[in-house]
Amino acid sequence: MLEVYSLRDDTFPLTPIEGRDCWYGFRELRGSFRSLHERSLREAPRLCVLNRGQFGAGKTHAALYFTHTAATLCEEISPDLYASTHAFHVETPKQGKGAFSQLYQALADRIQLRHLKAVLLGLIEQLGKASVEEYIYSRTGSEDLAIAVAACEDDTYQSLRTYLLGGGSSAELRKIGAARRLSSETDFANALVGLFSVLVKHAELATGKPCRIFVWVDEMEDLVYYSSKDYLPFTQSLRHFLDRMSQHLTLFLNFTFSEPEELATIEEVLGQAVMDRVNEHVLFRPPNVTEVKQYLDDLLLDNYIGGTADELRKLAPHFPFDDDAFSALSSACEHTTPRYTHKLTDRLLRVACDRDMVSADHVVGKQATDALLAESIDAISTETLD
Amino acid sequence: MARQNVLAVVRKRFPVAVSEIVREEFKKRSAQFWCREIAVWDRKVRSLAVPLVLPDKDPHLSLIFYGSPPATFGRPDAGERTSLMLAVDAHLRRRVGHCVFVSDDEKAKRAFLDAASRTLPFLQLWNSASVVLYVSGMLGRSHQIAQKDIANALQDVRSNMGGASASKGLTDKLVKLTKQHNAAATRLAATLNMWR
Repeated sequence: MLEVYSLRDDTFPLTPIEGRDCWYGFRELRGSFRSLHERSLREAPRLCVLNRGQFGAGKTHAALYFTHTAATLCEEISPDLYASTHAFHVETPKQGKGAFSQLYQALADRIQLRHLKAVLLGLIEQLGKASVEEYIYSRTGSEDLAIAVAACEDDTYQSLRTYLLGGGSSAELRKIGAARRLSSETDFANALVGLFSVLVKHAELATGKPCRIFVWVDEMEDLVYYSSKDYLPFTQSLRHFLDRMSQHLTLFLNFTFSEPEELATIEEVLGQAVMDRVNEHVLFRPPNVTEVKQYLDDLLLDNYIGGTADELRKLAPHFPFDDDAFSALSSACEHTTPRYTHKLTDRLLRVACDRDMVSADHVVGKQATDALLAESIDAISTETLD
Repeated sequence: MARQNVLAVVRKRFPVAVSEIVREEFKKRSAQFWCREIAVWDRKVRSLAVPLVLPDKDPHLSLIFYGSPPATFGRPDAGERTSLMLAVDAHLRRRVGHCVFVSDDEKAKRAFLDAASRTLPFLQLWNSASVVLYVSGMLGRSHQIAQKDIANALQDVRSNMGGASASKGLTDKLVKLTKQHNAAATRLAATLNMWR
């Protein structure tokens, strides 16, 4: 329906659309993340960042956007220290039981273990089995893991893959020299350090420089659903992982809370051990009117179809809204979230079209906006309550 | 808590009564949390379930306390309604002097239980967290109980709130509760320390 306004139908999605790498408005926030990426690419030490914001404030969007654009950023910044990046986005497991192993499995899926074979074989060829074993042991502190990884050959890779995913029969384990399966949460934390270390070393051998790894973990607030039996192993393993990966890693933790300024409350959920390792904080503040205007303007500009932006903006400066309507809409979205802005704008445009309240040029004026704004806000509030 | 199951302490130290509806509810949900103590409770609840003496008075009793009564009285709040009947009946027949009413149903509390508790002072409203805090205090006289033990037990209470239905509202509430519970655990542990 939004096509009547020369806009894509999915101009106002309620959740980020995978594959669409766009950033609208929020220049300061984007600048904060860019600075953190620059720092990550210029300094080797691990960086742990806690992103806090309300529901719908754009944390997942930021995670997807920067996961997809990390490599481009690295090219732009062209740091001396790193030549390449790996960026992964995962969610905090909903089930507390074996939560860290679930997180590990999700990351292993993103790394794509099937591609690891060539990486490992190349590493062993260049360094030799003993050096690889020593390297993995020095990173993970796990002898079993080091022996298993260094035992990678053409015909044992499948057994190694099964082992890395927490499985393996006795015969498979014997093949790769592992004494036991990966079972505890700490085992999986070590295995994750091992996988990342392999990626870092591979890049170092290929380009002469290591790679930087960016990991975004979304919905950390779901830790509140864990029982004490599950919570402690998860946070301890996360701490163990962070301590072992003391270099080449940037970890972003996204935390949704209605009062994101209340850091003390968030700390109670994440635990002292994790909070002590957080180096930087990014607060997703609700936007002021100017920021909403900038955001909406960018959003509309990027989603026009069936006409050039210049042509459409000759009809109205913020097409499909005239100046006054645009100001009224932006004021209504002040101190809310981008998701709310999307909901309200989408509804307003659809209802205005349904009720034929648009001009012949498909411009929504102040009169229509005033008439529909209160009703649309009510409708959205009811939806939220439901 | 101090190597004792909180439910076992409650079972041994308190006279417990449940209504038929609560027994049915217990039967339905106990498999989800099955352990030896739950098996003991299952037998206890079966033998304890008290049929309502005056079933025709439900929902009339709870109706007195509803701020805005629902159009029909169905399954929602049925456990709380019948438990209220049971408590009032036991008190008025002088079987019990005071009654601790344990429920985690915030909706039922807002709907009628808060008003009932204000009207009938013998009825004290608790939730699972109150049970944990009370038992911690009880055991703390004779056992070493650390803040962490209390906080962990309260975390287990929270992890079961809302069942399997996680939502934005519930997550937010649990985040806030975490802070309150941890503060309560710290204060209680400090109090217990003074009496050691």
